[in-house]
Amino acid sequence: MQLTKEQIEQLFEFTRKKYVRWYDLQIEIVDHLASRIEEEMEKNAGLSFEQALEQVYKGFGIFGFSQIVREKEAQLEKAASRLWLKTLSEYFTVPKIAFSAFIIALSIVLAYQINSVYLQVFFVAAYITGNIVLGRKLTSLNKTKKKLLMLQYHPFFGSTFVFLYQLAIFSKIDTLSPVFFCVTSVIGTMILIVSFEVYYILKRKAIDQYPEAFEIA
Amino acid sequence: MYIYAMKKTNPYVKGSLNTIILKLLSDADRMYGYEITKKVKEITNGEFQLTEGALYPALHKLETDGLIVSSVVFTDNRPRKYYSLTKSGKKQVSLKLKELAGFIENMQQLLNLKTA
Repeated sequence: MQLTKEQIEQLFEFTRKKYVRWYDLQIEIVDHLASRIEEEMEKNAGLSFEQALEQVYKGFGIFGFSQIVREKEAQLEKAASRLWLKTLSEYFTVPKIAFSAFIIALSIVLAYQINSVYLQVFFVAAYITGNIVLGRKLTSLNKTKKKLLMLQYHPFFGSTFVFLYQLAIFSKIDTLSPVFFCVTSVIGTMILIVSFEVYYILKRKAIDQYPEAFEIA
Repeated sequence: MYIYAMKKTNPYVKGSLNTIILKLLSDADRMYGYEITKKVKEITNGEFQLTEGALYPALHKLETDGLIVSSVVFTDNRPRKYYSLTKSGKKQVSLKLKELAGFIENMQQLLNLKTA
């Protein structure tokens, strides 16, 4: 006995009602429910789909799906911080260091050598626009057609942190010591590059695994 | 009372769950969650029952630790998540089995003290 497409859709709806918001978890729970329901209905021909679902859901205990969701969240959080550290350790390669050095040199030149206020304003404006564009790109990850839990732990905080910090520096550029400026630039650039790498790794993995979650609604 | 009648995974089974999962996956190429539950029940003649609340967190932890990977496959009417061993997972299987066998041996010696 096989459930119909409509019944499978009902099961997805059921998991949503039971607070499983994430598609990557819904898949697994729906498949499990469907397998059990098919089995129960084969055993007992008089059983309706709704009755079978009720019976199978009871088997999950009084906490329902919440334990599975909670533990998956903890695991993904762990996985995300591990990925961050791993990416950070891989940051120290020639091309990435060279790229960072270029960005840092550029910002130092712009900040100290250009006397024109207009150019400085232009640079700060460009910097802010760039950050907004990148920030929107990151938040768009949460706007997939089907929500993925694996994308909830992306390192957006990194970019926000860098943005606020550098904005503060630019506004007081004349009173800050060059050493302080250089150190924050180095750390800030490193965080930015690592954050974006992690973002692309997560996104590639998500598209690879759940392409249907990215289809436009 | 209902709470006490709740289905629970045997604590000994729960403690060896990782080893059981890795072993089953090393015999089959890939398996999905419900298939693992069914297989365990089948092999032990219904003596060992894995609850969903124990199985899925264990699978997800093994995945985080890089011992297994998952992939989604569309079957006739629904998507299904399959798990298979990674390279490091394959290496871990024999190690974990040895560990558990050693534990069982020691346990038997402990429980058969009268020969000493």
